[in-house]
Amino acid sequence: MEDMNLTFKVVIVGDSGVGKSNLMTRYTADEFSQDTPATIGVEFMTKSIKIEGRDAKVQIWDTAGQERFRAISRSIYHGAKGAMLVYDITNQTSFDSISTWLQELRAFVPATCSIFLIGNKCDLEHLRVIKKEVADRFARENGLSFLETSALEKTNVDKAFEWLAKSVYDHVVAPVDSAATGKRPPLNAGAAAKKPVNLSPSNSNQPAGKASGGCC
Amino acid sequence: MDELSDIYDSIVARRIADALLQRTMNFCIRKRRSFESLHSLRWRLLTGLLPTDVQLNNFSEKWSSCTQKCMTRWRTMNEDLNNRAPDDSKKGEVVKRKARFEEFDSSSEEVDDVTIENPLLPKNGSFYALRYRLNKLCSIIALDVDRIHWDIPLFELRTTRDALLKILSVYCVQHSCEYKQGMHEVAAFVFYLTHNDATILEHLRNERGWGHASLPNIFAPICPVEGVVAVAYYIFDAIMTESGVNLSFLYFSASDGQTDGITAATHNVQGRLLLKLDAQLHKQINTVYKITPTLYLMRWLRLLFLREFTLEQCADLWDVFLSERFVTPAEDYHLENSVVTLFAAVMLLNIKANIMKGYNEAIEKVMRYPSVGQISFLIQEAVLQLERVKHCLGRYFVVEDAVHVEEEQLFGVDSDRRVSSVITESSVRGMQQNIGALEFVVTMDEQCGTSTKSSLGKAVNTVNSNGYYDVIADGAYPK
Repeated sequence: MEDMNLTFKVVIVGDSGVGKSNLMTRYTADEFSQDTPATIGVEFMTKSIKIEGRDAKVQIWDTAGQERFRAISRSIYHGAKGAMLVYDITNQTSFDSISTWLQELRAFVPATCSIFLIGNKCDLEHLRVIKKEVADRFARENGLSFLETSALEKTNVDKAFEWLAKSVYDHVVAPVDSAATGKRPPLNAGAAAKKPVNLSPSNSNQPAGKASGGCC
Repeated sequence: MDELSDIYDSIVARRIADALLQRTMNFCIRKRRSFESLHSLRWRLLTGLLPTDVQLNNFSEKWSSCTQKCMTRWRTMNEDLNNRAPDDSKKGEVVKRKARFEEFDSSSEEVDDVTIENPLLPKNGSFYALRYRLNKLCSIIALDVDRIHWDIPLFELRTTRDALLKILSVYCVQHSCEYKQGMHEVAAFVFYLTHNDATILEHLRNERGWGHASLPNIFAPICPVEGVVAVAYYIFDAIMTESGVNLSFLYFSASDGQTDGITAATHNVQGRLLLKLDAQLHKQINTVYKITPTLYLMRWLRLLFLREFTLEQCADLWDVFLSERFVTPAEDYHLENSVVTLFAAVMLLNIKANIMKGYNEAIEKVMRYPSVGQISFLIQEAVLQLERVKHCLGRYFVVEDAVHVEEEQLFGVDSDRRVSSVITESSVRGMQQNIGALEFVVTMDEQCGTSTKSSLGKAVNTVNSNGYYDVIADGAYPK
């Protein structure tokens, strides 16, 4: 059995200026800055968490939104178990780019990688141009989980990362545990590749619609 | 001020280039000048924007003339750009406006249908196509320029951001290239120093009422306040091209599409160059951790270390980079194999202790490089390594001199500091100066002869700058 300390690699991708860096710093250091400089290459931060009672560390790789740079993409995505596709709800172009980013992700990350669609800056409701329903439909059609966040107001930021970590655990760690203990993997393993599956009984009563919950 | 006096003295003595290199490589008195070194003036000399073959009777006229040409050409380039892509805000008859709007739609569709690697191609017929692409370029640049802060009030001004937007957009048009993130900070740093120097001279000129013969009066037209944007543009352009360090090599692939500069440079740093410095560290990073060098080195190199060191340290650092370029024939200069990349390898060596602790510690330290108190010692190591490959800068490099150390001791500065190499700072000229240089060369040879890999390895196991310095002094260099 693997060591008791789990390490997850999570990558954050999306167009320049959608708020990727502030999502990372808000979650890891509870910091938001209007002065965040453009990310050049990649930024790296870690956060220690508990998941299913176990100690784990999330390695977050925040990428430059402008760079389409194949040499660096391969190494950034290599081994990533979770990914956040981030767009800005006030920026149509950033949402239009999501399919391109998803295509790039699919080319480099493992098939078991859990991918979340994140609509950031939901505090700017008066400037919204991407309807939640449109994004939710895109997410369902592509097998992604969807959540709207505000790094500025810290809305759904922790929830997004915690759900992603839980999803990673369920997809990657739990099946290994099951195999190790002799349990049969779930019969819907094929479907699991499309949607997060909660194996823990304590979560079974959560409504499926919660996955697309936005700002309250 | 000292820099002006030194420049003037070197003109009188007809040794502008030699004296310039001695100033850029002299870290004894760095603290005394800091941002008063007039870095933008140094860089114009080192990149050939200002000629170094001038004399006392013509330097003022020649350098002022070059400056005026910069300003004139800058104005012309901006006017050409405006003429080729007229602003939408121009008023016109209702019917004409509608016609232009329809044409714009058509052009926009055409543009959207075509995948364009180069977003700014002047030859595409319609003014509106060019205007569309210029607007798109400017909005991308503005997004990054508006995110420059650096705790400097200058960068909160709208005029500064407009200036940077112009510098970057004109550069992209002139060179038919994309804007890439990182270029904005290189341009901002150049603008900052150019503005700083012009401001200093303006203040000096206003303070001294000595008359037209004073140095500030002579130099103010060479660094004019009204010419800051133009001069900054040309310095930025020089740094990006082969007049300077050819930084564009790290941003864009070569025209053959096969040579990828950033990959070549980053792999050289973490590969061959690091292997020469420390085989153990090389193996740990490449074989054990398997860290892809581009992950962190892309930012280090594309920004020429602006995020890893203070602006003041970077100004001194860029002096060294451009000095190497100045003394190297164009065909022999290769950025991926320069003091820039050597310096990056030395930076890795400097944090070896942290890197050896584990993968996570290594990643964290290369991603957020720990601040360095005395950058001169890292520069010294890089220059020393460079000297083993080609003799070009070593004879100019000075770290500390006895007089300076004594001064610091008198003022209670860290008395444990030691002299790693003693060169008497001399104001003599001619033969005496050459004798001094020869003595330094002899000393350098001795240092090279006595240093060993194990000594270097041991030396950089100490992380803090004082420790680094002390161990070097103890183990690697004769006193």
